[in-house]
Amino acid sequence: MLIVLIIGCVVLVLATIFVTALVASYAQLERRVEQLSSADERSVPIELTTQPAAVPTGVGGASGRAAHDLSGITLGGDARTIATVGVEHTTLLAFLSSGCRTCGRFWETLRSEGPPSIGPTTRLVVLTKGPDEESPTDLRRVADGVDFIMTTEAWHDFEIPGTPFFVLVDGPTGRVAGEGTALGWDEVRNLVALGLGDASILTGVDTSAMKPSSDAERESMVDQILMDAGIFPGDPSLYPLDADAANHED
Amino acid sequence: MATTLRAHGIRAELPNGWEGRITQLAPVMPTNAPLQRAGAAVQTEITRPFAHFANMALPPNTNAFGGGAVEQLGAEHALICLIEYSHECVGTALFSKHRLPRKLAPRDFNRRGLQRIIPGQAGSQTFLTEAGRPFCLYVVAGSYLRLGTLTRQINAVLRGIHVDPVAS
Repeated sequence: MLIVLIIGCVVLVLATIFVTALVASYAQLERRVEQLSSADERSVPIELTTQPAAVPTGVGGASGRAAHDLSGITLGGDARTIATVGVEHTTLLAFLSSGCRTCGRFWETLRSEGPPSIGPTTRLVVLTKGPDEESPTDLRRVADGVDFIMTTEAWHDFEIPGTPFFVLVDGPTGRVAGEGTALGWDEVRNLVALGLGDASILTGVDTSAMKPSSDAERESMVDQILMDAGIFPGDPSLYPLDADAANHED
Repeated sequence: MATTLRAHGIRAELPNGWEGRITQLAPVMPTNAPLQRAGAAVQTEITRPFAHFANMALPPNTNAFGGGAVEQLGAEHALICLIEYSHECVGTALFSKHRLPRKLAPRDFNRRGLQRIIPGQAGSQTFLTEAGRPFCLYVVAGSYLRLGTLTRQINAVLRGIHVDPVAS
C-alpha cells in the first residue's frame, strides 16, 4: 500500500512539473506571437525576387559608368531635352521598341494603366529610337501622357544591347546605378529597388514619414507659412509668456 | 555637361541639371457649325511656338504658361516660359520696351506676379521683342526666399537663349 502511495506521489509530482513546463512554454509562445503581431509592417522581411531574363541583368553602384542627358524629339515633333545628370532624383530609362514582342507587354501596361509606380524619387522616361526607325503614329496610341523621347543618340550613349532594356541613373552622381532587361514592370521594380536599396518600391509602404528629412521639410513649410503671414524669426508672438511673467501680470 | 535644344527658330544651351522643350501646338480647325452653314470664311487657328526650361522634371503636358509644372516646383526649382505672340504685336507699346533680358534680379520677381498664385513662389513677366519676334518671358521661382540663388541659375539659362529672326 505504501509503495502504491509513493508511486502515486511521484506521478503527481511529474505531472505537476509537466503541466508547469507546458504552461510556461505556452506563455512564452503567446508573448512571441504578441510581439510579432504588434510589430510594424515594415519590419516584415522583403524577399527581392530575381527571375530569368533574356539578357543578363546587372546592378551597378554609384561607381557605375557615366550617364548622359537626353536630347531628341517628342511624339508631337517637339524638340526635347531631359536632364538625368546633376538632378536630385533618379531616372529610370526604359528603352523600348514598337517592333519587339516583349516590349508589347510594357506598351500595353502603359496604355491601359499609365506609368507604373516605381517610387516617389524615381522618374520614368520611355525612349525609342528616332522617327527614321520608329513610327510616331503607332507610338502615339500607346505612349500618350508618358514622359517620352525619341532619340537614337541615347541608344549609342548608353550602349543599349537590345530591347527591352532599362537603365537606372543616379542624378546627384550622374552615374548608372543599375541596368538590365526585364519581362514585365514587376521585374523593373525589382531592378529599381535593388539599385536604390529601397524595398518600399516593392511593398508600396512609404517610409518617408519616418525620415528626419520630412521633419525638416515640415519645419521649412511652417516657416514659409509664418513668413507669408508676416511673422519672422524672433517675433514675440512665437514665444508663450513664461510662468513668472504670467504671474507678474496677474 | 550642357545640352542644346533647337526648334522653331529658338535655340537654348542649357546648363547642367536643366531640361527643356520647344513646342508648337497643331492648329485646331474651327467647329462652329452655324458659321460653316452660313458659308462664312472660317480661318484656321495660327499657333506660335513656346519653350519651357526647368531645373526639374518637366511634366509631359505642361501648358504654355507652366500650368501642370508650377504645381510641382520645389523651393530650389525654377521654370522659364518663353511664349511667342502674333507678329501683329510687333511695334505695339507693350512689346516694344524690352529685348530678351539676360539678367534678372530678385527685385524683378513678385509673389503676386504669377499666373496662378502659389504660396512661397514668385514670378516675373516681361513682354519683349527679340530678333523682330514678339514674346512673353514668364519666369517662376519655386521660393521667394531663395531668389538670390535661383536668379543666378535662371540668368545662366537666359544667357544661352538665341532667337532667329524668322521661325524656321
